Amino acid sequence: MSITLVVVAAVACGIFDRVRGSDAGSTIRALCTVLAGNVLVLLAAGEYTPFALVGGFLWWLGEKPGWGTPMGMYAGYDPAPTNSYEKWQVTDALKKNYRLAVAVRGLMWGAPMLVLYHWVPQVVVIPLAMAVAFPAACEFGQLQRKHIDFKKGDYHWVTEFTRGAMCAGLVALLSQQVVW
Amino acid sequence: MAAVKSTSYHGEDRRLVSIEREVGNAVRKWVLVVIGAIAVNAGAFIWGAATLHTTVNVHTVALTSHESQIRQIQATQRTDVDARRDFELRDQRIAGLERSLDRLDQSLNTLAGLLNGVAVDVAVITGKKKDQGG
Repeated sequence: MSITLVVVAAVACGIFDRVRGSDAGSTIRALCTVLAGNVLVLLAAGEYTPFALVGGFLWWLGEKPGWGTPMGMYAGYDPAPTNSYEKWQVTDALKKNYRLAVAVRGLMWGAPMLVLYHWVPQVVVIPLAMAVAFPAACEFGQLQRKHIDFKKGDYHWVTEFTRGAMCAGLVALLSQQVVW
Repeated sequence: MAAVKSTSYHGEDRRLVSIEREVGNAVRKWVLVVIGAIAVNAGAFIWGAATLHTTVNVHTVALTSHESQIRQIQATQRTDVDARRDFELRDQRIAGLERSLDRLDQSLNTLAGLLNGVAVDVAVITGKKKDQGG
């Protein structure tokens, strides 16, 4: 897979992630989520596979649990009250360490993709890539904080676009599908 | 409870109509999502097939080039075999020539022996004549 194609796919995944998190219609958001997962499986496989379509819906499934509390803590908001932690934040480490929590949430997002392991073994890199891309995008958002107008929703553009694009790039790199 | 008991113009339960609408919306949404995803996958499949076709073409061209190279190598090998055969024939001819030379040498030796014998005989005869004549 050529580097140009990987860059195009990464930008597409960034846009898909942003639209997924936007206030667009639910159909568009669901379609963008499915397509992002679709593209990630295609990037991992390095060739067309019909399992990419299944991967899209598995990606949508992994997206379901919320992550507002740890991401809010990342953005500098006060720690959430005890009763507003996400359901998957079951340990103290996940409740207090928001970096760890976001990384674990990234793993959770990509975990359903492992269903496809038998047919597309390269999908193992997807949860790993998301576990890296999710906190990395949040860190990048924090670095760009001074230039971001929170009221306009630019923070979401920075974090979500970066997360989608970075995840796609990492998937292509880790699955060794890039031809330099 | 009042909302449950209230009825629409046709006497249908309003809550049921609301649920039907929600289910209809959800079904419509997912049908659109599946159609959209399948359409994009079809595009990816066509792209993949086109890429594969291009790759096959590139490999075919490379294979043709390799076949040409192999033919050249085979031709060179054939020349080498011919040359080796020529050398072997030349060696055989040289060996035959050496054998002939050996035979000629033997024959000459034999002839020289004969001539020597004749010369000795002649000398003896001549000597005898001289002795007889002196």
